[in-house]
Amino acid sequence: MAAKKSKGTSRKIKDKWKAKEWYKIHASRMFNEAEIGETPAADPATLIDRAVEVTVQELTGDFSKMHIKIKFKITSVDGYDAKTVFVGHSLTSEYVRRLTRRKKTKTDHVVDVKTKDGFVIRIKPMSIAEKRIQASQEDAMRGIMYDTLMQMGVENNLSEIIKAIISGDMARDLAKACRTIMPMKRIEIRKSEILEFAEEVDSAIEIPPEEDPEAADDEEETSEEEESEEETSEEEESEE
Amino acid sequence: MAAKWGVANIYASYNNIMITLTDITGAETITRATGGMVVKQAKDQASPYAAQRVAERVADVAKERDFVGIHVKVRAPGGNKSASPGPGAQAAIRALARAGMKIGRIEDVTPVPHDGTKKKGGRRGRRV
Repeated sequence: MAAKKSKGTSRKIKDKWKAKEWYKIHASRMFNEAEIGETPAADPATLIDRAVEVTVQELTGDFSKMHIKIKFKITSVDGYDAKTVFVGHSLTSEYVRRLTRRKKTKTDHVVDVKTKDGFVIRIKPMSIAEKRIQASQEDAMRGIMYDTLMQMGVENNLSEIIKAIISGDMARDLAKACRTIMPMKRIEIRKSEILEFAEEVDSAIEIPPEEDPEAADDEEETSEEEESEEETSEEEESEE
Repeated sequence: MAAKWGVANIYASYNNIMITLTDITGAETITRATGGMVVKQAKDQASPYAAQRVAERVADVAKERDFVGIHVKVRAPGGNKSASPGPGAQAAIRALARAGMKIGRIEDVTPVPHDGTKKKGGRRGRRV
């Protein structure tokens, strides 16, 4: 009975499905407009504001950066190509969870930075200390982070800031600045989101892909498959 | 990437399993299947067997629509409810892989409260 029912519904969907066409999604200009994937739509107007998340590894082929996800939003469609802008990044939740330990203070910070070219970007760094630290030390660190990030905003364009976030330079600079309070074990930029857009003036970042992206893709897929099985089994164990 | 990828949003609770296959933006739903569509008894909805059947159903449609790979987003009820996915989550991922779909990244997207309301059950817990 169930099978009969599903046939009826699937036929109805199929007609709609055939009317849909596939559009290619490209990364924003600062990522050299690399192709991210495809999305189906019946009407190109419905594509606007769709968001895609990709890992840095998929964009550049850099395996050490597979825990960083970048979010793009479609802003315009040109033929079968959809153009996007960068709207934020985040670390994968399991990566953050791995860094968080007992008896080590994890401090979250939130700073709204205005960049030189007029964007407002909310940067959320996260610092992990070697041991439990006092609230006054956390507060002092917030102050220092605020000052350093604001200074960065005055000096840099959005694309330079994004590049610093992804490459880890920003985290390193923050760690250096916070050293006066307490040497930190780890500082990561946990999340960022763009609050206000300026007019398009971003220049291309050069992150050279390490290998031919397509060749790398094939390898990744096979290795990831094995990994995924392991991961899931691990998860199960931890649940128990 | 010339090949088409989709996202399988797997919601696995202790009472049911639900897989929604979407495109990579999550804006277009391609198909959806739940535990109740494949088993007769309500108590079996969350079982690994139901999850396997549900995943097979989803994979069938995915293949029909020329998808080669699937990213997986696993989700438990979350919030102030259980934070660990039900028994079907793992079986569903395995069944998707067995059905010939490539599995991309697997991610846990369980909603985590930044503190909210109290979990139901009262001070002394659920008394069975």
